[in-house]
Amino acid sequence: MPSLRRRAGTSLLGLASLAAALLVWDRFASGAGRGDVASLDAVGRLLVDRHELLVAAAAVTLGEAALGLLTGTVFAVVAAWAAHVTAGARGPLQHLMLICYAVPLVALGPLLTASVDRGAIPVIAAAISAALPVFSSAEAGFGAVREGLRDLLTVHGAGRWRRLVLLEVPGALPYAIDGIKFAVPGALLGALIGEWFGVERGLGVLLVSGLREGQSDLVTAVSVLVVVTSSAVYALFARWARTVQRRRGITGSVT
Amino acid sequence: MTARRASAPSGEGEAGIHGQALSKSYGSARRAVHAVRDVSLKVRSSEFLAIIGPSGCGKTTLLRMVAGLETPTSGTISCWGRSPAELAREHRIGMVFQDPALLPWASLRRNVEFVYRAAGRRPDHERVHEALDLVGLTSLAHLRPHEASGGMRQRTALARALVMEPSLLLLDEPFGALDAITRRRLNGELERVWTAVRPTTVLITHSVEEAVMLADRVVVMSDRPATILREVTVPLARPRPTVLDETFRDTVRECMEALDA
Repeated sequence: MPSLRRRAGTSLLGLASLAAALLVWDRFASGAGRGDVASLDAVGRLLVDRHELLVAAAAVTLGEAALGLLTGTVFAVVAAWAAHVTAGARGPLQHLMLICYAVPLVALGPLLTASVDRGAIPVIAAAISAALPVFSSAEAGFGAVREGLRDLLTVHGAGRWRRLVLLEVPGALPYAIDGIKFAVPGALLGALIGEWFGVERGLGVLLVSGLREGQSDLVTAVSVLVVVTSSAVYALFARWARTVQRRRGITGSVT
Repeated sequence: MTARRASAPSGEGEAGIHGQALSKSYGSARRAVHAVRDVSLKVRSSEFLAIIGPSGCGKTTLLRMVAGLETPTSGTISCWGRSPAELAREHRIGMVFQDPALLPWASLRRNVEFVYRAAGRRPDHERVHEALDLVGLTSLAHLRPHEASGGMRQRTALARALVMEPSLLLLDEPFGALDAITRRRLNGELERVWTAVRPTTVLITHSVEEAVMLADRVVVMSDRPATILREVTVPLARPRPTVLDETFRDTVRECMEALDA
């Protein structure tokens, strides 16, 4: 019961915060000389009237972000494992991940345009944005496997591959999921920015088009969609992470 | 419960474990830290040997060398004529650590089954059931480690160590982190289980009473680098008496005197 009450309290607080934010936004948009900020009403109308266009664009961007998130996660987990098992590789891999994450994606655009198919750019951009959080978490996960379990496998003559499959991957799982949770908004924004480099469909294309044509309601509607989608997917992964952690008796965040 | 006697690897009779002039040091030659120095040790087949000594004296290092987890800087170890690594490849070693080292995502039963997977084999469910029964966990085997008490977790680790019928059982302070009451109860259970199965056993412990209660022979080691100070034969019959008699107290005193010397 107290848990239910606490959950209801948290939900109410969340709703109240959202209502307050919307109220501030509406007051700001309706203020004198603020024509470049769309009103709540205008954004709401656009979301209803042009929902087919927005849903189609969101599906494209989400698909690219999901593929990018998957690619970035696989790359990050493999890199984290390599850093874990090869002492000398840890530092260089950490630097490589950091550099990839720190380079502005917009600056990478021309390089990517010249070297890969334009349709792949949003996926690559999403993967780059997603990799570092997953890498950091997975690396911590591989390191968190108990020494006694490693010794146990050695005592039974298990090699590196069996240790990876039986111990290290399942052990790193809650950490990786926690990292993916934080990588979701980055992947979505990466896909969005990647769409600016010659792709024909997607939320990024709508965003650029809205900015060019001064359609503040379209720009705001796309932003709202991105924030809502990021929050929803983040919440899904957070729930998954909590479930996995609860099953393992882990309290609090693993990272 | 049909406990099966552990068998020594074929054709080796009473030879058991033979560590010859074992030394282990860490670090560079100039700044080497000597954990173990020139220790020779024999453990007969089906013997229960306890090693006691001051904290940090190198007992665990010695045990890890026997398990093949550490390579001696000098000296040799033979387990029924094989190297520890060969014995490990044959899955003839069972080991229990101070930290039970259980998979947090698996039930206690799955944790016992885990050694089969570690060995690249399919779990023998009958043996798993027997091992769980041996340590009194059959009805609680569905629990996950975080739902079990410290004693249950350590009993799971013991069942896991015994399930593949090892020739060599290595116990590294298995009850060191438990409270005195649980520890005393588990000592009794370990003695009962060991008497039923009789694998060649090496126990590392800080507790002189625990060593005398469980072992056939107690090796007393010096402070680091570990060397053998004295070997004390325990003249107590099995099963060990629950009421501690004069012989028990004398043996404990003998070990204590060796430690204090």
